[in-house]
Amino acid sequence: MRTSISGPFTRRRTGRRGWVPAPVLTMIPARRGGFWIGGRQGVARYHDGDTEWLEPKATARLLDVKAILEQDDGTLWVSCDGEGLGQVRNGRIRQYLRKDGLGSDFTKSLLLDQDGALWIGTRGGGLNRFKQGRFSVIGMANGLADDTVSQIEDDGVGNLWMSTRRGIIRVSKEELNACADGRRDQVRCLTYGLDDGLNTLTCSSSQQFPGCRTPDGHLVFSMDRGVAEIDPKLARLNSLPPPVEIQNVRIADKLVTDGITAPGALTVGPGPNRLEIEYTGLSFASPDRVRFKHRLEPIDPDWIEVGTDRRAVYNYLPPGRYVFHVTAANNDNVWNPTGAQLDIEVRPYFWQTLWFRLLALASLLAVTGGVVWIQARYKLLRSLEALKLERAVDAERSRIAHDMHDDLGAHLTRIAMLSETARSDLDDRPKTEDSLGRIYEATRSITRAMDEIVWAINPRHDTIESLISYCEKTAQDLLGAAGIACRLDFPLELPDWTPTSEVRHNLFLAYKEALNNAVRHAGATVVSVSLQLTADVCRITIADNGSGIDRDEARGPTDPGRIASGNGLPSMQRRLARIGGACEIESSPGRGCAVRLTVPVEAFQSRNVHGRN
Amino acid sequence: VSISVSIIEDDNNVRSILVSWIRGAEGFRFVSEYSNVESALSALPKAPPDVVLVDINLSGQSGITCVRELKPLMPQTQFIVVTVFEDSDHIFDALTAGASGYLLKQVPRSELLASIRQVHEGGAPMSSYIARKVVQWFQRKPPEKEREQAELSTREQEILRLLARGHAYKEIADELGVSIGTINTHIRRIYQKLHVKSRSEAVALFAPFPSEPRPPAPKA
Repeated sequence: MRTSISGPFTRRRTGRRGWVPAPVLTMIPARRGGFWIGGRQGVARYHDGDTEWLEPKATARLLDVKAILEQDDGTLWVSCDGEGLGQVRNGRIRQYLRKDGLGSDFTKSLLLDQDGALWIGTRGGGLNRFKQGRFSVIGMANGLADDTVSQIEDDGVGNLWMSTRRGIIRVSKEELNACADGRRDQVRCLTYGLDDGLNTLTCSSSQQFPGCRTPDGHLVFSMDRGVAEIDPKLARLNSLPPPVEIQNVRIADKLVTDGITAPGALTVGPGPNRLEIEYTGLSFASPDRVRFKHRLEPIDPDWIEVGTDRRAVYNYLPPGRYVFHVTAANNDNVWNPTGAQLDIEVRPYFWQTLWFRLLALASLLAVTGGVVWIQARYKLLRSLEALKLERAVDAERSRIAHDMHDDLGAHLTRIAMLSETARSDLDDRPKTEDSLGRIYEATRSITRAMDEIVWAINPRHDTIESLISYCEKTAQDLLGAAGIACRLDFPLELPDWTPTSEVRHNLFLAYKEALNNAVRHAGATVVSVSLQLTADVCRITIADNGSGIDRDEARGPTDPGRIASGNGLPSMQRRLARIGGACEIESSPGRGCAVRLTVPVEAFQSRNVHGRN
Repeated sequence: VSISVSIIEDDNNVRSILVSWIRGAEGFRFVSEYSNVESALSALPKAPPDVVLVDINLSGQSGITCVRELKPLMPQTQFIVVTVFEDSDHIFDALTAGASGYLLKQVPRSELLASIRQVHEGGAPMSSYIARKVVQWFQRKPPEKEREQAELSTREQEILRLLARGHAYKEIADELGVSIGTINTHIRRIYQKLHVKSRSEAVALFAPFPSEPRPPAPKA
């Protein structure tokens, strides 16, 4: 029995040769001979049937040992499932835990790199690196397939192989170191799983078995269903980026054959068409593992990784120019730096084009302007029309006012004065009787004048029939009172003409004037009145058998047809002129006189003669 | 024998003046006055006067309606319509309704009394315009069965034609070689034919299909 030399080791005599703690979880050959044994109670060196135990201290407890590693300088590394990482150097034990930078307190496996870095596999804390007194953690966040690393092997060509709960993974040491040094964020992690011949993804959850490398370089991993042997030479990293090609383009589910006019250029017709782009990445090694990302400028701000999907779909692209980029990565995550691209032009509808919109705007402005102009013009015309009508009404009103003032006012004044005279002359009976008689006459005159005004104003009398009947009655009244025989010649059937108040009134007053002339001046015994209606004119003739127009009263030679003046003739002419007609007088001494009042038919047929003055 | 006169007039002043004129006149007897058509319709047929003066423009029912209602009930009574203005259409309507003459309100008292007496004694005033209207009226196609009794005689047509040409009664009498009384009789007969025709037309208007069988009455 030999005793331990020095340091933390004590020889514990068990009383029985070859006692070892049970169960042994791991075991490696020790440089000084014998073996390092790891178990639940700690670490011991077995040598020549004896065991030396690493004595735990208050500052360091090495329990549940899963892996032991001894450096050439004698430094011993112990991974403990729950107690972190132990370092035994020069007789001193030091324990590293999460607080010291470890990814997890549960460490499972160890591997010493040639450059002196120590790789530590943990349960839940990823792969850790201890180098120059500092820990670095590489986990799933950095692209590792799993955070639990059970076994770590170096394939001698620059990769670390690790067994995890998700299969066996391979990562380039260069990338791992770059990641651990903070020079890169992501590592490319290649995972071998069921597709690659494994019958399970889960490694054996127990301890590491070191030196699991065959002489020809195969790596052997312990799995929960046996062992897995890998020939790293066959699993070289695929450094060839897959060529990318755009294959088919479908617009509205129809394959575009001639849409691709130039290489990588496509024109899409107007409308909200569904655009579908199929692309592929060529890889003979592992076509199923080709992954893609694409980007549609200017819509996508960044690349969109779509995995193995070989189709991009855009349901609606507004009119404009686009560039579709697609690129692919091989099974080893090597991206094609150039990829493929397709220039897409979505043509607008004609109404989406700028020129059309400008034109539409211009048309709109033109139409609006036109409508406004027409409305303004219509309004102007209407107000003009209203103004005209108003003026016509005003003219009519002033005419009525004028008539009432002239015809009634004078008579009423006379009545007032006569009444006053009669009152002052009450004692003088003949004078009073005379006054009363004149009042009576004036009153009758007023009534007649009223009758005429009312007849003229009332639109019910806007008929040729009413005009004729009124003329007839007046003739009989005037001539009958004067004892002059009256002869009338009016057609029995009268046309449906509509002389306005103005026409009727002027014509009637002229007619009455002519009758009065015949009664007062001509000394006639018979007056005949006749009406002739032709297609063009309405003519009323008042003829008497009196003395005719006196030479002294006429203004010139008494030629037949000559317009004479005097005896109210100018007033007749004025009245006829107002309604667009004419007054002619035919007379010769001793052969009577004929007054012809001629009015064009238009004055009888239209109600729109208001404006005429 | 004095002429009994009733007055239908809604203007109180006018009515009292007319009443006083009739009352104070020799040979006239004022019997009653009414201010509206309704009271005249109920009272007048019980004691028909010789002459009734009717205002055309009465408030409520018009004087024309009044004449049309009363004339058949009292055929011996002469109706004279009185109006402010000489509105030919209204006057003609009144004549076809049964009136025998018309007067303007502003006529002097003497003229008014003379007209009443003239109408009572069988006179029938007719102006040239009314004559023209009458001619037109009879030229319209009359209903078949009324044709005979409503037809104007040749002499009547001749008188109307002369009237329409403006001849006075005396001129017509000279022209035809008859007395003015005969002319009046002819014209009075023309008025009667006008009434008959007017009535028959009214009947034709309100009962256009008298021969059509009525649908059987529903059983109770």
